[in-house]
Amino acid sequence: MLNAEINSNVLKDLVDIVGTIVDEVKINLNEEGLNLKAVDPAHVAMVDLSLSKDAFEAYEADETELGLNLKKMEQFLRLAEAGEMVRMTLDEDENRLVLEVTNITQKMALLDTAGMTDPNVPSLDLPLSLKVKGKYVLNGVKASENISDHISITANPDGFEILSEEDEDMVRLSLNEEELEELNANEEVRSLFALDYFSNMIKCVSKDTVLEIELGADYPIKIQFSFAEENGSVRYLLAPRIEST
Amino acid sequence: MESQTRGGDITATKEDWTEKYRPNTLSQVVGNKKATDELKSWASKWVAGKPSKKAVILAGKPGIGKTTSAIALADEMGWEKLEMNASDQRNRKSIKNFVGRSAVDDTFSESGDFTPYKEGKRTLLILDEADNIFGKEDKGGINEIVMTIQKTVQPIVLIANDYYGLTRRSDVLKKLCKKIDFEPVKKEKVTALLKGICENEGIEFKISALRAIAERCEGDVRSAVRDLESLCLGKDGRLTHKDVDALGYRNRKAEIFPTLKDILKNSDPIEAKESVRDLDENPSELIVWVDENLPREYDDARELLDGYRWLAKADIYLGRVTKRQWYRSWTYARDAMTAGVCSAKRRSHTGWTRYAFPTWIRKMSSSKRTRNIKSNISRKVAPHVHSTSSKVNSAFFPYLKYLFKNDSDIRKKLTEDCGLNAGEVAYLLDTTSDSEEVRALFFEKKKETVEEKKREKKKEKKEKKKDEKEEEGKQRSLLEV
Repeated sequence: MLNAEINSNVLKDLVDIVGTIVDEVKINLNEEGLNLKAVDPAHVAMVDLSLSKDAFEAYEADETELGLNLKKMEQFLRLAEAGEMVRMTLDEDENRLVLEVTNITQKMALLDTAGMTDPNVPSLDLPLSLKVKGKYVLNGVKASENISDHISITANPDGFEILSEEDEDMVRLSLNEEELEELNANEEVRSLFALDYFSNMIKCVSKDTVLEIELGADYPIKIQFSFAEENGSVRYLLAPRIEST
Repeated sequence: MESQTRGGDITATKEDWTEKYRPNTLSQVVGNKKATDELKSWASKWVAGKPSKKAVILAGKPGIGKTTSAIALADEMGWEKLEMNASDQRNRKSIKNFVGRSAVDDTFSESGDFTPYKEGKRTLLILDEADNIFGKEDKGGINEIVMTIQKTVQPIVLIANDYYGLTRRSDVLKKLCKKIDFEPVKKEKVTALLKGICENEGIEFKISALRAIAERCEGDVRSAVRDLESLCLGKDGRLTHKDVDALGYRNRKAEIFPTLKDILKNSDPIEAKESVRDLDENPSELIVWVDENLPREYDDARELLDGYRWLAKADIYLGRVTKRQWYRSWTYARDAMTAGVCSAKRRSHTGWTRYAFPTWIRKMSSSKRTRNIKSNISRKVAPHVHSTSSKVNSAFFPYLKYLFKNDSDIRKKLTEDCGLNAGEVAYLLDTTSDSEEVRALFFEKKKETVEEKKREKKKEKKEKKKDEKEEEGKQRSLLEV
């Protein structure tokens, strides 16, 4: 059973966040809200998202699983104006999700969740953690997009750096300790990452959102942030680009 | 295919034998020693660094161990593996997002761990059925693969049934990949594998039966194991040569079996009738299938009697279709052979029954040649005896044959006048066309024709005067001797 009403902006964010990783996802619903875990087909990126029932205008649900096609969901959300309310109910007889905005009702077939399992998201012990405002990372990533398909992220006790280099071109974003919200570092670490994933991951991050980043040397990066006015939280894991000689 | 689905019906809880007996190491792979050795030596180059060819194409027919070898290789090397197979969506974009990414980015393991590449972990990227990826709709796919191979830091295995089909579209791809050929597996090896499985499953077997399975699989190990599994299911742990005959259905369309099941097992006649609706099978063919398999399912005499009554009724309607060209009768025929036969049972039949390919069809196809000869003879003889060829075929033939065998004059005359050829003569004499008797007949005939031609030339004028009726009369009298 599901009977919920939610701001379309929040739903759009959710679809954006997860859609970066997969096209189809299994969402676990319970009385308290929803959560999901997904890994991309290449096993390079993972997402772990939860959204509390407080993010909804109204929320009532039993424990159940929803197999959702995010592409279809995205198309539906284009019909909704920004900030408009979306009503979600479950047609259990026909196994369909019923979505309603002002004058439009869409029924969407649910995917069979039997073959969809929650991936194990590894609990990585990373040596360095920091907190940074969204605006810096957004700028750094945006600047890098013109240069290369990957970025290097470096952090040390003095600061944090995003660097993109290809041939003769180079762009760098450097932040010192003061410009960061928090920095816990005893050593210098550096890893390379695929830029397209990185930029998709922070696409729905606002300028003031604080990103919690954990980093290692040639190790996956962990990026955590909240959305839906602190009612939702996201944890991304992205494996590094392999630097081989 | 059928054997797999049918096996799956009752052993849903058990593991498929093709999975259960899938080898875990390369050395356990049946046959193809050379190919697996080559694969292994290619893989060992990855331990030291990058080999000159970063991708291999495993080429060969289905079911001979290509995918199995690739997976076994990853396990044996302690590598991670990522498999992109035919069930995944495979266009340019998805190839890029899948193998394109994992070729350059580090990956999380299936179990959710992470070991860095620099610590020696490799991820084997397996592109199964690579020759089927590139449809017309997606020409970019092959380029994406080429680019992936060019940039990859991980070993890549492409698997293809059709090596040429895969490489003819891209010379670059051909140059970038090392080709490893997989051969159909020798039947002795398949037999040995089947034997091992039987022993492990505690099945008594006749080795000849296993050989027969191995023989008919034509080097396809997977289908041999499937066949064995389907034959052993529903049997009380014994396998004989006779059971293997049931594999006659292999090339049949899969759909006929569920339909047979609906007719012979279920107790709902309406369902049986509905089931045939989607079946693309002529009723005159379906009836043979029902006929063959009815006694395999119905064991009660009453059931059998009623069942065959319905079949007989169906057959009458089928006859009317042909005779009167009244195709409406098909509906009645169909209902009688499905709902009718279904309603004849006194209890619903459960369990697994091995349905067989109709013996009738098999016999008809193997006797096709001789039946053709016979009808040719009948056609040639018919005008000379003032009858139809079908009448000759059905009524005169035994007498004709007897006369032909025992009276050399008639033999000569008939051969000559009706223009029978050596094959036809041989058929009438129950011998081969190069036998003494047949040759003698044709040698004599040749001699006679030469003489006759001379005679004919002399008599030409006289013959012209003769009228046709007389001639026919003469010939008839000959046959009536």
